[in-house]
Formats: sequence, structure tokens, C-alpha cells
Amino acid sequence: MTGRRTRARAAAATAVMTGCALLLAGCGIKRTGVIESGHAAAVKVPGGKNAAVLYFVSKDGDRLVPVPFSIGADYTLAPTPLLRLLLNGPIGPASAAGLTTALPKVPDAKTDTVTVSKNSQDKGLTANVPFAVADLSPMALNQLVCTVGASAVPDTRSPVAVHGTDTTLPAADCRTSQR
Amino acid sequence: MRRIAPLGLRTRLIAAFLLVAAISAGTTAALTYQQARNAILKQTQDTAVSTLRDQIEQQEFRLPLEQQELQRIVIELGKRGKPHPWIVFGEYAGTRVSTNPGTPTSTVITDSLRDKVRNNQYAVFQRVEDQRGNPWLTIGVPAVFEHNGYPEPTGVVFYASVPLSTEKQTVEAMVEAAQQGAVPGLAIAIVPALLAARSVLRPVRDMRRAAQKLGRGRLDTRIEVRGADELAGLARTFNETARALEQSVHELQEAEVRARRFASDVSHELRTPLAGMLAVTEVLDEDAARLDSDTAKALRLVSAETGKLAVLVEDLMEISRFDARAAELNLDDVDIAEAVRKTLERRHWDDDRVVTELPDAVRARLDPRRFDVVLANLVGNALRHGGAPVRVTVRTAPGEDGERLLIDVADSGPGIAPEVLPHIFDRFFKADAARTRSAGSGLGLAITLENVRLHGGTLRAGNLPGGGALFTLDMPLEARV
Repeated sequence: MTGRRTRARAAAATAVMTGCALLLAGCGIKRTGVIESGHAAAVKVPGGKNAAVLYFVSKDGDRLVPVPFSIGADYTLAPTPLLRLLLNGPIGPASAAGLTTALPKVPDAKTDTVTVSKNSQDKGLTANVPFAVADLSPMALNQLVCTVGASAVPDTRSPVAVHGTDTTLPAADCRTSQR
Repeated sequence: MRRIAPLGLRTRLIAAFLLVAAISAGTTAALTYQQARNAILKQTQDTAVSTLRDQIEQQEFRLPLEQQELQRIVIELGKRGKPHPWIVFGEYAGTRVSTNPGTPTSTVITDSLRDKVRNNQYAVFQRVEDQRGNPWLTIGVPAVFEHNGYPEPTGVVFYASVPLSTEKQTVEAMVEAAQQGAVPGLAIAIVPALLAARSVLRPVRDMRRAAQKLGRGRLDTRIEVRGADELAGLARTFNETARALEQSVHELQEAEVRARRFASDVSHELRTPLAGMLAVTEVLDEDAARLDSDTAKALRLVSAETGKLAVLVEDLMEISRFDARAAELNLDDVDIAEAVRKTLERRHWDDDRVVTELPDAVRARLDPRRFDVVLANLVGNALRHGGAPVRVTVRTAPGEDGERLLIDVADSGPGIAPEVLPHIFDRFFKADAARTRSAGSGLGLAITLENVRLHGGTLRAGNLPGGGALFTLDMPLEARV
């Protein structure tokens, strides 16, 4: 009898304490985790819609930054000149903004060997470059894949294989971020 | 360990009411508060995020973005903070700027927010606290542009930190309002608690009083039954019980009255023929000497038994009077020593069989006839069942309400057996089971006790340490009617 009553009192006390704790815990403005809230801001970039985009490495070296390159609203740049432009490295405003390239410099004599060819088996492309590609950093490889894959064929993103002096790397998709 | 004293019904009822009121008020306030707070915060967050996104979308970007251009856009965005003024930070390709030229980075924007917003294409927010504990809303919105039909990240990310001090004040004001509302609510809850306690306590109090009256012998006590609840049912049961009790007590009393009246009537009816028989046997007794010896013997036996019968009838009538409460005290001022001496003299006990120890000049107010009966019964009983010498000691002692008269009657016999002692004053109780016919009527000590009680005294029976029975009479020196 006494035990039951004691237990009932203990249960009631626990309930009251829990209630008080809940009430106190609910007060004030609590910190939160990172919460998603809608889409990103879509901005207008002059000529960005049709322009070819070159990808260079940001100042921190941890990601690729797109640089639109336009020669006029009515013209589109073919993949091969685009790849040659990329291999020339950042110039003008891109260089001024602190962008760099992870790709090796191609001497002018070998510029002709830089081409982009359509793959025969699938819809992919192959970038031909006059240097060894097996030891290229992931960032450099992505510069090639993203620049060629995003701009070569309108309204599609193509996987791109890289053919160097030593080997041919299998087709890959563009990843601008290293993470 | 001492247990806590149990609380009264009223206290417990009020406490329970207050507890219920506090719980319901607290729960309601807490739920309302949480909803309101979440709504306020949600509105602030949504407004801030969508404002920042809209503002960014109105800007024109020339990629790659130079630092001056980024600084210009950030300052432009910084002017348009909604719902509160905000601090805007911009980040592009390793360059960081803010609306405060001195501090390009924020102290409240966390690394996890930066990682999330830089690696994904959606806006995010996070609520944080600075070192002083003030709440901040931090927002990150990446800028994308459409390229070849796909949203392409420009690499530009804008952050804004919005102080939530206004929201904090609003939320604190709500807590304060809830607290201030709860106190009068609890005070109001006391009123129904008191009413409820009253409605329970009043019948309980009535019932306790009724039970006390019933205990004092007022068997006609009843409780007024109000309403139809459990307490009314209890009152009804109480009334039924009291009625049943009254009825059975009444029946018992009637039966007892009938029995007593029967004994009284019988003794009255016996008295008249006995008087005649006594007169005849006395005459015959005188002539017995002239009759032959057998007849004379028989005649004397009849005469003696008739005398005993007459004594028995007188005793029965006396005890009937006591039972009917018809016995009365005829008080008189008496010299105790004189009264005792007269009683002994009248019974011819003034030889050395009875030793007295009498104080001089002690006057008592009592009924002389009844006192005579008491003393004669006690001394006679001592002589008959105990043995000579019988010692009679009279003394006085101070008592609670005046002087007491104490009379000890001790005999020199074997004393009273312990198993007999509790029944010594019972009617027709024979101490010696083998001796069915004793000299007395069997009512002597019962009548003695009734007489002493009538005087407001007590009579105790016991044994002396050295053997012999001791009767102690204890009654007020001044008896009252």
C-alpha cells in the first residue's frame, strides 16, 4: 500500500519535472543546423547563354571557376579552338581576377596537335593533347573535361575522354568542385 | 522517521485544483508560445532568404568577376536588407569582400554553412549565436547562370548575417506575457477549489457531528440528505444505520423493562400471601412446644423457611426499585461512629466478634437506613463467609471533589478465590458452588453495591496480604441527591 503510494507520487513528481524541463527547454531562440531554403539565385551573365565557357582554377586552388568566352552573339566557338584557348591559360580579366590553370603550357609548335574528335562508339568526345595525361592532377583533368564537355555540343553535357602522349583516359563527366 | 502530518481535505483539494490549473495553463502557454515563436522566426527567415535571392538576381554579372565589381555588388545588396538591416559578404574564386571593408569575413557564418552553399546549388540558412549569446540568422545564396540549358555555378556566393534581436525581444515579451497571465489564472482557480472543498467538507463535518451525537447516546440523530452524490448516499446509509440501531436498542430496553416489571410484580404478589403465612407460622411456632417432637420440628422448619422467603421477597423488591430507578436517598446528618455502633448493636454484633476502629466526631450526610443496610450486609457477609474477628475501620480522606468516607471491612477467613472476585457483586452468585443453599438471599452484596452507588460511591472487594477478604467502601462524606 505504502509502496504503491510512494511509487505513484514518484511518477507524478517525474511527470511534473519533465513538463517543467520541456517548458524551459522551449524558451528563447535556439541555434539550428544548416537548413536548405529554396533554389540558388539565377543571374544574367552577358552572352552567357550561348558563350563557350572555359574553366580555370580559383585562387584557393580548390575549385573550378567558369569564364564565358564570346566572340559575338551569333557565333559559337568550335570545340578545338576552345580547347586551344583553355591550354593558353587565363588572360585579361580572368588573370586579373587571380584565376590560374593546372594544365601544362603547350608550345606554339605543338598547337596543331590539340584537337577534339567525336567518339565513334558513343555520344562522347575525345580531347587530344600533346602531353602525358596519366599524371595530371584531378583539377587539371576536370578543366579539360568540363570545358570540352559543357560547350562542344549545344544543350548537352557530354562525357569526355582524354588522349595524351602516353595513354587515353576513359570518358568522365564534369565536376567543378573537388568535394 | 516521522511521517509528514497528513494534509486536510481542503488543502489537498485546493492543491489539486491549482496543480491542474497550472498544468493546463502551462501547457497551453507553452504550445501557443512555440507556435508563435516558430511562425515569427519562419517569416523572418523566409523574407530574408527570398529578399537576398531577389536582390542577387537583379544584379548583372560580368565573369570573371573582378574584386571591385564584387565589392560594388555587395555594397549594393547591403543597402537592401529585409526585414532587418544586414551585413552582406561576397566570395568569388578565393576573393572575399563584405559591406564592412575592414572585415571581409564574418564571425557568425559557420564553415558548415559555407561548405554546403559552395558545393550545392541551393540557398541555405542557419540560426547561430555569437559570443555574447545574441541570435543571428545567417544566409548563403550561390549565384548560378544558365549555360547550354543547365544552371552553371558562377562560383560567386553571397552571405548575409541578420541580427535577430527584434525577434528575441518579441519572444521574451511573449514569455513574460505568459507568466503574467498565469498568476491571475491560478488565483482565479482558487475560487472553484474553495467551492468544491466546501461542498465536500460540509457534509463530512455534519456527519462527524452526527456520529459524535450518536456516540453520546442521542440515537434519534439524523443527517439532512442533500443531493444525490456519493456523500448523500453515505448520509442516507448513516441515517438507516442510526434508525436500525435505535430500533434494536429500543427493543432491548423494552425487553429489560418487561423482565424487571415481571420480577417486581412477582415479588409484590408474593408479599401479601407471605405476610399471612408469617403471621400463621408465628402463632404455630408459639404452640410448637405443646406438639409432639416430629411435628414441632417440621413446623419450625416451615417457619424458618417462610422467614427466609420473606427476606428474599423484600430483597427482590428492593433490587426492583433500584432497577426501576425508584430508589431515593433520604439524606440526614449522621455521626458515623454512632451510626456504625447502632448497626452492630441492633444485630447483636457488639461482642468481640467485631472489632471497630472509629474516629470521633466525624459527621457525614447520608441516608441512615441505606447506610445501615450496607454496613450490616458487609459485616454479616464477613461473619458468614469469612470468620471472626471482623475488623471495621472508618476513616476519611481528601478526594477530588471534597472529603471521602472510607470504610474497610476485613475478616479473618480464607479470603475470596481469585476466580470468584470479578463476580462477587453479581446477583444470586454463590461463591461456594457446593453449598447451594446459603443463609442469605444471594442478593445481599448486589443490594449493598446499589446502595453505595446511590450515594455516589464505589465498593471494592479484595484480599488482605495475610489472608482474609477485604471490602472497601468509598463514598463522598457529603452525599448529594
